[in-house]
Amino acid sequence: MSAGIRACLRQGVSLWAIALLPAILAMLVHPRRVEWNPETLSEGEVSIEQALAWGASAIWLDARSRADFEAAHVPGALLMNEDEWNELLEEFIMRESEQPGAPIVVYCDSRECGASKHVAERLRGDEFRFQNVHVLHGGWKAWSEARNE
Amino acid sequence: MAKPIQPLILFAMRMIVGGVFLIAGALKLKDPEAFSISIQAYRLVPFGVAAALATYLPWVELVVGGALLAGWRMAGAAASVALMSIVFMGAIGSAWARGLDIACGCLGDAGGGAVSYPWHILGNLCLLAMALILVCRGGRRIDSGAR
Repeated sequence: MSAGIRACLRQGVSLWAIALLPAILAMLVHPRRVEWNPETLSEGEVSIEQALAWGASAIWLDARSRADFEAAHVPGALLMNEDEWNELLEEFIMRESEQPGAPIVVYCDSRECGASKHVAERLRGDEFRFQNVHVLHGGWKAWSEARNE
Repeated sequence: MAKPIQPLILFAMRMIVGGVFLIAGALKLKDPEAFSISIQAYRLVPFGVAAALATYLPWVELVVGGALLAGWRMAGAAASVALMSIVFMGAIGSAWARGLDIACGCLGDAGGGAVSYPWHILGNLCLLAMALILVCRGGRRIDSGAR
């Protein structure tokens, strides 16, 4: 191995090592640090057990694509994805006015999707300021599994 | 005529590559949880590995990008960029091949629109090419005035 390649490797390893210390600190103190246990609820999430206990008293929002929604969805859920936001908003606002203050449960495919989180953040944001908005932990997958149990 | 402008081109490459990685790292650092969700969406690594990558990778990008901008340990930083670009292209290409409709997560955004696979691969190819050119310059200092 030439001296140049060795120097390059040494430099690279040292840079990655430098990054390790702040990463460990961030892992401990970052306000939005990564959750290492997949079963632990993140901020703003609700468990499937709690969401099922709310049942129809909650407003269920499906943040997946229209095709997925039309294939299957939580009974009574409204389609509310970001692609068709403006078109879908009116129906949600009407539902919310019929059930003011009801918990709003947003779900997408599974824990790996981010769409429900984005929809929830948008509903909590300055434009709407809904307070009782929750992301379903595990999403549609968790709901399907719970229904089959 | 090409020789006098070459250092300027190399300087520009260093600024572009360093800037892109610095910004990408900083944006991901705002919300590691969202970045973890983005990594999980690729369905390539288990949950724990995604969590570790989401914690560590933004800091690597930040340090490597900062090193390139500062002209410090440039060969190692450029090699790191090349390595990460190859890994990113592999992940994006794999998601494309499997027909996944996911957000890139390249700038730390877990949601947003679906990734434009060809453009992201092209972007990473450009970064890879520039990084390899910078690596080939060895450990020599590359700035607008250096030979």
